[in-house]
Amino acid sequence: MIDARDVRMSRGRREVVHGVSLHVDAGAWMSVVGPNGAGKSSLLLGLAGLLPSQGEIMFDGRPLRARSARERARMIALVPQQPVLPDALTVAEYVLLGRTPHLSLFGSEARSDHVLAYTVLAKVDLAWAADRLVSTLSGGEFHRAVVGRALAQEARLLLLDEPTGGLDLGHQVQVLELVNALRRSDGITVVSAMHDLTLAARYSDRVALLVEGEVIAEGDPATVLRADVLERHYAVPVHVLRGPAGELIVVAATSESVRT
Amino acid sequence: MKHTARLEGTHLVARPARPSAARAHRRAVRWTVIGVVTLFVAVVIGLFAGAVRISPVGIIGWMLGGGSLTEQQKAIVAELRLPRVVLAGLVGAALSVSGCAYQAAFRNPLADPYLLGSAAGAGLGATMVIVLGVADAPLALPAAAFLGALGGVGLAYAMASTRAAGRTSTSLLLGGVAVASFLTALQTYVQQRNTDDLRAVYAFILGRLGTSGWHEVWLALPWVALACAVLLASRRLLEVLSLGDLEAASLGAHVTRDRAIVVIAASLATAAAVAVAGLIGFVGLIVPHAIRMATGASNRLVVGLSIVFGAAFLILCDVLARTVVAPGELPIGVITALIGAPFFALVLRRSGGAR
Repeated sequence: MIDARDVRMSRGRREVVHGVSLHVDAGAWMSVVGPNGAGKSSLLLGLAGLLPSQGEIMFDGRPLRARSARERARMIALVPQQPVLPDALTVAEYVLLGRTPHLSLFGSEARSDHVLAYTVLAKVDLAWAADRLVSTLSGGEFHRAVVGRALAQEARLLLLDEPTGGLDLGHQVQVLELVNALRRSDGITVVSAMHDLTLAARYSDRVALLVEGEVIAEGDPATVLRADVLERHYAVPVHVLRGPAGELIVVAATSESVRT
Repeated sequence: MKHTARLEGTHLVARPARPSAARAHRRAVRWTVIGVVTLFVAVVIGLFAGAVRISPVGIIGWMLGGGSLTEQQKAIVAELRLPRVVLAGLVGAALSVSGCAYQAAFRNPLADPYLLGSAAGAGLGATMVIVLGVADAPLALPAAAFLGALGGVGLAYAMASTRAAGRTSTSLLLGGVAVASFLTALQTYVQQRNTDDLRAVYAFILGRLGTSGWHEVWLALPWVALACAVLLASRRLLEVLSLGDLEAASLGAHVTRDRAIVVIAASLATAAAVAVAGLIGFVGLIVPHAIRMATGASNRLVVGLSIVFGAAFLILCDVLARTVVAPGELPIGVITALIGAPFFALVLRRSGGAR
């Protein structure tokens, strides 16, 4: 699906992504993890074609650069880290904005677009809120509306930038479960930038550890999220435990156990 | 009973298709009708107000193509009052729709042609053409006003877009205020150097519809119509732009190009208004925000309503300008500023400041 080779990106004069190569299969979920400032968001925006990058990003065997912005938006949908909360849009109108890449410059939505928006609203469990203003939603509901807008793009690749940021435990799992279910039902490919390593381990097939703009390790969660590797790069003692179902649990060690 | 309860329970899930689309449509129709009726009433009042008393019933009859007006009354209504009402409507529509467009394009609730420096730029452009004595050349006045308006917005935007300024809404407004003051100062200087008539200077700065005839209407009409058509066509685009550059781009929008389309159309409307009526402040702020507060609607609906309500608003302001100190006349910019400045404070309060 997506093949990034030697991607370099700069913000201002500073290079923040140094020669990253990644491969994501269709239908997979890849999580990019790493400390703050590692370049996760930059890399994600670069994969979406929203920030300039050097190197090569291939999407379905064709360079991303060769595609127009509209074409890109029909293939790749982004759920940004801090989505703008619009003032006067209803949830239905907000989700309909996801149809933009399918409409002409001065076009407006057809009946089929409205029907699709309602299907999407049902999927993200917001059909009841269709007429409510987006600004009246709770944090978790707004997050689902943003996912809904991305789904309305009918893109095959979904990029999630910190999808759980600012959400409580329940809502974090709710959003990720939703994305996972959609991945199963609609065959969407997911690339997410994640802070929470436990959640990254639970939901992704593959994890890439990004440190200071370079991929240090890449593979299935159990091989990448090892205590010794994480301790080195997060500069804190880390325990990697196994939960009751054998799932990975990554926690920073408490202060008593900090070795001096 | 049990059966009904179960039906009620499922009702939430199995809704009829597109309820909100239908509701939004009903709201749009309702407000459009209210807008058109308001505009009609404003036109009647505009034609009614004046030194010679003519009955409103007679005016409505005349507007509908019949009526009982004498030839003299018809001449007063058709030749004196109508052009002025039409001009006020055009200018009001132009300033309101451009205010709405600037607010959406720059994602700034306090943006308006006056505060962004585009009106001042248009004023400078128009003054230069008059002073250079080429105002009678075809298109010279609107073209110069247009270039001035674009220059004004461009300067304000450029000042706000530097890294040091932080690209915030506040810096856009501060840039606009600085640009507007500077361009107004230049305009005043040019005019003072070239005319002894102080009154004309003030008339221009405070806005005027007084010297009106059909000439000004024909000068402004094509550009206002073109700008309104482009902005009406762009109303969905305005919603996309309101999501911010990153998200708009992620939806496939060419943010720079799309914003340029909106800003150029808005500046065209501003320029046409300023070229025929001088600087009339706050209209672009008052009208779109009042519509937003009343309808709770997004820009998609506000753009179109700004055109009709903006026209009605300025026609009524002009009635006030000609009647409160009759037989004298207040500059219309005084009326809009008297209403607009307190309104500005209200919008500032509601929007929690320009973040």
